[in-house]
Amino acid sequence: MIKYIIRRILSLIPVVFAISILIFGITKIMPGDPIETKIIQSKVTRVEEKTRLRQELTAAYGLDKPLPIQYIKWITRVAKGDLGTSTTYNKSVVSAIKTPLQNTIILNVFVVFFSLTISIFAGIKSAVKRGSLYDQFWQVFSLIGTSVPSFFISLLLIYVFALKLKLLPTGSMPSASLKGSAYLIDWARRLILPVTTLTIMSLAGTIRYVRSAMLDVLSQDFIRTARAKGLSQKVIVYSHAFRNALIPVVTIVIGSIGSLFAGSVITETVFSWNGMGRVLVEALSSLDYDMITSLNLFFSIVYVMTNLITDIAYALVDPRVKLK
Amino acid sequence: MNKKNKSIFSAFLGIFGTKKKIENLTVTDDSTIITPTRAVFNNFIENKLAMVGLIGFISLVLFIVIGAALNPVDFFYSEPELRNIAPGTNMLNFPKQLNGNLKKIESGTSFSVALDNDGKLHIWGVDIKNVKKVPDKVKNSKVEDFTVGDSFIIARLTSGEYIGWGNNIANQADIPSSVASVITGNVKQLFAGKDFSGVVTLNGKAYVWGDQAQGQDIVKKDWMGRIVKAEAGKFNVLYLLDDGTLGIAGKGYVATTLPTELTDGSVKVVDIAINKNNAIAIDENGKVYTWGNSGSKLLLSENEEITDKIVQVQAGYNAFALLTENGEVKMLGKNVLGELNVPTFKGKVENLMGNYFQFYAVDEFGNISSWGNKGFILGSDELGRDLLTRIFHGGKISLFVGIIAVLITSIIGMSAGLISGFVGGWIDNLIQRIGEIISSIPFLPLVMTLSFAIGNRMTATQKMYLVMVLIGLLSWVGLSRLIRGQILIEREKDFVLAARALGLKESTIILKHILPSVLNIAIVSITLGYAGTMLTESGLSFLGFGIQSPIPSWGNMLTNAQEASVVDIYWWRWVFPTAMIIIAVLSVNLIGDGFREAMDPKSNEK
Repeated sequence: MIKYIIRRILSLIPVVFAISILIFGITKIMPGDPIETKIIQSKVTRVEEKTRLRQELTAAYGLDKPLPIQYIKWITRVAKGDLGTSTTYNKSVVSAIKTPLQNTIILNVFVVFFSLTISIFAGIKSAVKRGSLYDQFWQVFSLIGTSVPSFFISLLLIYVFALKLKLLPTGSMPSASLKGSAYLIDWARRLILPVTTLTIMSLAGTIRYVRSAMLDVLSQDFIRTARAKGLSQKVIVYSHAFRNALIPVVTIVIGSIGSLFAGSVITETVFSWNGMGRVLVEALSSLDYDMITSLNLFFSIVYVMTNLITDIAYALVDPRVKLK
Repeated sequence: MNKKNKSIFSAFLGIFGTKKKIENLTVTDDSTIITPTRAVFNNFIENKLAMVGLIGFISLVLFIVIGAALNPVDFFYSEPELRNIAPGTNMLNFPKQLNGNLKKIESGTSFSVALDNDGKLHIWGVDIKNVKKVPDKVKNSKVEDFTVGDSFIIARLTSGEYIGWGNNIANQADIPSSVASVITGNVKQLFAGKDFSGVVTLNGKAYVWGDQAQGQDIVKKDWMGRIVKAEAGKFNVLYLLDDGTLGIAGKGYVATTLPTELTDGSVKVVDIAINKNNAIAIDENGKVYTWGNSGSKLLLSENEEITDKIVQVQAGYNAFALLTENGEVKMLGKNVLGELNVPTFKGKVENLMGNYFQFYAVDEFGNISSWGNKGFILGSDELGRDLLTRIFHGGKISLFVGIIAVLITSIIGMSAGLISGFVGGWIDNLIQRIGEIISSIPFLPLVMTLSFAIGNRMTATQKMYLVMVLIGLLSWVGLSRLIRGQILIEREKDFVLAARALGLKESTIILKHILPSVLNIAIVSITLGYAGTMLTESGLSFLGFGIQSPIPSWGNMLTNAQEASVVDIYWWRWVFPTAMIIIAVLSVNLIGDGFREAMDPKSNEK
């Protein structure tokens, strides 16, 4: 097992290397000039000071060196945890993305929790009651859910619950003036609509998998054997079938976390949720170079890590995988 | 197989020239053996949902293509006066009881108001700034006169009281008490422009209130006591004085280009009209004078002359209506919203009314005819563009971008998958690694970043192509993996072994035995991929990183609809474009699911 994990991690090295080159390449084709942007930000006015600053920055970023050396400089900086400075926040990227990162993680933790629970229970029930009204409801749900743009769900929820029924706020973060429990309640209220949107989007995809994984298991010989032994339906479904169906389900849900992080860009923008996705949109529109690079790196690393965890989890629960 | 299905099926096959075979086969009917391809066809056609999807998608494409062809669009057109107009096509539908009982009609941007001889006000068209909410006092008493600005109304009751409602941003709907005290019982004419209104008194004086930013309110001392008639444009007031000369208040091109012959007394003007940037006047001989902005087609060119004697003029925003002495109507200007589509009249026209985008003519028998802007079936957007037209053209773009992107995806994905699967070795390994790298960077952030980095200096059209290529280049990995996997599975199957044992050539085995089932799976994936691509494009454009305005796409039509106020008040601006996206994606998904079920009937049973 450890051998497999090590092999899997080693195989990541060229991928991570290639990703870093790709992202480095993107920063090179970005419009505008990061040095000039930084000089304008620094509010230096005198010409000689500007020239001095330009030289300093060029040397610091190694922009006077050939591309491979620039890349090595950049990657060693990143490896040390120095992601550069954000021009919009006027502080280091690492400290600037602390809050957005927290917000995105909180958002996605709720989404993963709800979509995992609902998809497992509803998916299994759908499979067991195949063809029933219940099953058909979820079939229609996932068909529509995969055909509807996420911003439509967001706008619809805002229209109904925030604007017409006036039950919830339309979005954005709670004001800092709130203290204690009032702050938490406001937080929770603002969380409901984005979480609902993302859960619906995520459910539409996962529930199909759970249902078909469960159907696969239910058609296996050992289930027939269990039936032949005279076990009750409950025991068959929850003890025999469920455990086996859980394997693909868990891997699918873990695997979807990476895309969830990236997929919440639109939802965070619509709800003005101060998360990583919204920061990316802002960074792009305000040409915040270091921020753009760091965010792309972040999203890629989350993605690669979840892929790794999925593979390892799969191998842990299904020993056959290692052999492939 | 029942008879009805059979007949549809054979009709379909008839298209491909295989009808004869079917006829031969009908003899044996139930024991018929059909080839896998026909079975797939059969299954697909029998699948009701898939057929709903197919018919839905075909009708959608026809709707969009025909609609776009019938409604040509100028992407750079905008009409600020008509922004955020609610859906409705009743702007020209005046109450029929006004025929023969009409005192006057005046129009605002999206509505018209009429006063009948009984002193009752009638309002029709699409509501804007609550102009349709007539105050109770006006409803319950007789109205003597009224005037309409772009989105407000002022009425004078028989009691002499003035009541204004609608847009009152510059207090243009409320007569200042200082003016009211001077004009009591002495009013000849009310007039109103964009954010200002005024009166002309019986003794030839004028008073203007409301917005003064453009100097609309300035009435020169020289004119006082001599004013016969006033006409308000967007930011100007044009005065007709008692000696037939003109005076103009306000700034802008229309004020600076006023011909001197109209001010020095050499010509005696009898009627005037003015709009945003242009004005028109006619003299006692029926000769027409135009001045103002030259780009609006509202100027008579030097060699162009109207031979008929003109007796009345009425202003609109894109056109002027001219009444000849024979009772015919001539139009001058652009046919933007149907302003030049003058109907045929039952008799001689005696009076022209309206304004902005609506025109009304009253003939000698008192019958009213209307032409101009009927309204917008699906409303208008933040720049006053017809939403339906944008949906037609945006749909063309959205469907087209999706098709090209998915074509790129299929070509790369299929070639990569086929090469990986059949050739194997280090090439397979290389392709797999490239795929791994591409799929290791989350799709949406990467496309956003690249579209921004590369597309920053591009024109809107170039960026549209960039988006297609980017989506295509970054989403082929799934398809190539699917095809590779399927080839590996199929290769190990017993029938391939059997074919090999029979001594068939490797190329025959690949082409005839492995490829068909691989292609089946690819078709399903490509169809579902098309639906996904349309969603991706709409999301990207929605965020502003996809198709750029002024080129419309269903996604970018919603970019400005994120604010709560738009979501709430201007609901049509997000409901209709998203509805189109959903219909398109849903029908393609239904087709894709239909393909899958048709090719793998077992999945049907699941």
